Amino acid sequence: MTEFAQLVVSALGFGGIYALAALGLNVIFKTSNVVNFAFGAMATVVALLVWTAHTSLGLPTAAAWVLAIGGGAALGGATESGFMRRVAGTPPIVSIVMTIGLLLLVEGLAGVIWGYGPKTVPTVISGPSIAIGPVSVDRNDLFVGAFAVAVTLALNLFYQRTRLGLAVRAVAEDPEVAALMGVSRRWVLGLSWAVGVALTGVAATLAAPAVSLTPTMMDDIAVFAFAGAVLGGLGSITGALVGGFAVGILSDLIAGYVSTNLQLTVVFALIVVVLYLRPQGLFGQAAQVRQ
Amino acid sequence: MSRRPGRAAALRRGGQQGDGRTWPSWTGAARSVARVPVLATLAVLVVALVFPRFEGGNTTVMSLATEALTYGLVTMSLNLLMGYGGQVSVGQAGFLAVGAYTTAIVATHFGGLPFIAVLALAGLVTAAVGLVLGLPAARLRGHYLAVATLGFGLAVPEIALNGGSLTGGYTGLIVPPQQLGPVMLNNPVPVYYLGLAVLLVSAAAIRSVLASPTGRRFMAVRDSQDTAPAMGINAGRTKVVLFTLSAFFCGLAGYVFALNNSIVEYSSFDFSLSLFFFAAVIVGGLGSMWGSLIGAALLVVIQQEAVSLGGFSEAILGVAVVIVLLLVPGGLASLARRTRDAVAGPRLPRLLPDQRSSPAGASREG
Amino acid sequence: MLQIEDLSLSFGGVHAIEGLNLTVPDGTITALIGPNGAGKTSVLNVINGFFRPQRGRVLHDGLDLLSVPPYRVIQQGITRSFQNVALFGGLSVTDNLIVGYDHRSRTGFARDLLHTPKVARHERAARARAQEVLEFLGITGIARRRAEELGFGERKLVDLGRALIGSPALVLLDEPASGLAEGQKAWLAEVLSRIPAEFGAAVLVIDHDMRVVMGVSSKVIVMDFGRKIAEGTPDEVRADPVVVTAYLGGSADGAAEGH
Repeated sequence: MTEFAQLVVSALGFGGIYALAALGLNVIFKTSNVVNFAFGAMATVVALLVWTAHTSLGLPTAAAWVLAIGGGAALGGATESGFMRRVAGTPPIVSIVMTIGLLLLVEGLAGVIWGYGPKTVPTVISGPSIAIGPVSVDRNDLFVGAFAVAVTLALNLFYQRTRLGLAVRAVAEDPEVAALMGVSRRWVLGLSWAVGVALTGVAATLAAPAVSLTPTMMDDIAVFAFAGAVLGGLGSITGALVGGFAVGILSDLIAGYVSTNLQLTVVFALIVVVLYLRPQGLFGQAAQVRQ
Repeated sequence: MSRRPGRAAALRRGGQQGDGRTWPSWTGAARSVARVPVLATLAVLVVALVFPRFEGGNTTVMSLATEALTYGLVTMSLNLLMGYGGQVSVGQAGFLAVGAYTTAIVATHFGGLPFIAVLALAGLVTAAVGLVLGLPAARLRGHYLAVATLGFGLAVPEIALNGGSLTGGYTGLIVPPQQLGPVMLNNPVPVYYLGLAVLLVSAAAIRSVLASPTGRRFMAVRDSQDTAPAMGINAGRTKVVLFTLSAFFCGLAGYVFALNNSIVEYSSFDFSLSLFFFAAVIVGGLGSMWGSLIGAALLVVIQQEAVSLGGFSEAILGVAVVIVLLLVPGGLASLARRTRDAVAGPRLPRLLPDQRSSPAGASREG
Repeated sequence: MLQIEDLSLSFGGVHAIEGLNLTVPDGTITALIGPNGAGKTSVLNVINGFFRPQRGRVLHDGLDLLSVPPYRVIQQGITRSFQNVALFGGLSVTDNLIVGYDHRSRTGFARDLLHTPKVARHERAARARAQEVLEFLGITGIARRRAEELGFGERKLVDLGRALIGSPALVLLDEPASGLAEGQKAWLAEVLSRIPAEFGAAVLVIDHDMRVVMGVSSKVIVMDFGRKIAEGTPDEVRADPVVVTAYLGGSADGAAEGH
């Protein structure tokens, strides 16, 4: 039982990362109905920017983070206005192809610019593990998990309680209402992409200390984040949190009890089963699936 | 039955425009089967047949050529699934892996089987996997389907890695050489010819399907899934058949792949291979069988240069995809068509370039 | 013969159809008219199998259509056209028509792969039949055009042709005249009038424009708010005050212009 609890608790860290990445994905999907297949590569760029700012340019950590997140936001906004806007209103396959093309492009360029050698990025919080009863929690894991929850709460508050949040939702669900409210659809889409990429970028930078920072670092993480986002329901904020943590805990349990090498398979099988029974995911809206 | 050309012309002139752009217009060529340009096909075929006479001694080149043939069949199978069937798949390398591993496993444990049986098994086992994937996939659309196929493409190599002695685990399996009559298939040249034969027969079969009720059903479901039932089409069943067929041809490609590489290991079938196949189909031209072959050839070239180019190879492919998407829908195949049109003189406007000259096809304008 | 008995369909709190009784005798043209939102398209959708009603029976030649899944309805000899003309955009006009004929093929995907003689025979028969339908509609010139490149009027005709090619027993037409210009509507009405003679099919045509259907139908049924409010010959219905009131008031012809 203790082992089980320990496995669950140590999933906090990666679960939080998957949740954050899934949140980034869902923020974008919520407004633009597009799955950004390039989100892993874009997030890696953010992490690489942190490394450049901190290690190469010698900036203090906080400044490096701010710079990188700003860069991520800019990247997201530029992607939306430069590429995604041109394929607005087309069937899903088109945006899938576009984001996959961008995935190849961004990942390739990241490799050219930064090279493939692993780099190190310090953790946000360091220090000894905290003991809670029989299990011990890594400080950084705790921070990441708590951060993910905080972001989810903040986003939910934003979407449900603020006027701007309402306008953002309107753009996705009812464009006419959005126009009446005087909200520019273009602006909202750009903002969503900026926030989405920035969020996933944060996830990548938090993951960087644990996994070696290379241009392809997010490949595996992105898959689990996908799984979490789809499981929770594309476009759902709470779903991203729940899905991300569920995937994190599940893969940790599989690694602990079965084998580290079967995580993807089981997670994939789980996604397929869930989608078969409930095509819109746990918290998603049914309308999204029937494209 | 009488004709009313005057009224028909009036109908054509007037009336408001129909609904917005649909999926096929982006693909540019994913229509009913086009007539293959006969001369060009014959020329390429002759080159393909004669080619080993000149390069037969060069193992590397022959092996690359066979790789191109293998990739060509994979992209054709993906084109069938995506271009003609409208189902997104980012995991086609998974099917290739199943075909290749089936080949290695069967050849290892059932050494006496004739090569044609091993080939058939590679296709059929992969088809069965395609059926199993197709059942849940038929319920999904768009992004959800893409993610599901992504998961599939990742799961297959992982299962192979954990297959113990059956799949060779980390080190993979050696493929025992097959025998085609008196010829041993461990020589690059016979393997090349076998690969060419498999490709040609498969291409013929795919064309045959596309010009039949099954093929039209694929395209009908692609274009208007919700109205297709009114025409007697069971959309779910059609999609499952589609996945099964696509997987079958990919499985055949897996057989050639296994022979060509002599060893089958899980790391050959990673996600980036699926991505590359996806990109190849798009860049070559979705919905065009020639486009698939062009895309596959391009892919082989890029992969070869990947070592020296590093990240550039990926970036180039990415740029190509984006360019095709924004500027050249219909991919390289459509460029070829436009060049031919420019050289041979303009065709009648708004008519398909594959117009056959027959009494039925003669236009009755005005 | 199509028989609808006491049909009721609701979505949530909305009663799309209430207690509808309707028959379409063989070889006749019956018009189903009424203001927008009267429930007319829903009737077609029920016959097609797209919606399942809460109550009622739909029989075609004695067979219970409600027990048949949507993709088998065509095998009962019932076809339809669509208000929003959902053609298969990537297919040519000829192939669009042939899809309407394909349900007759008895070949599975295995035989299609090999292109057996049976498949070749079906293809030949299908193409010949498509040519006949194209001639009937007067659009042979666009046979090889991709469906999505067509103008609106052409699309409507192809949609109609797709419903006719399989020699159905009953053709359901959903607003075939909507969006057409005046001259085109007259042409369409003429085509409609010839369907029973050329194809041996009964027609159930929906439109909220009375002028198109009045001239060709032998029977007219008027719906409003999901209920049948009148039934009879075109002249009887045109003079019926209940019908006139249902359409915006004023004369029946004036009401037609209002839509």
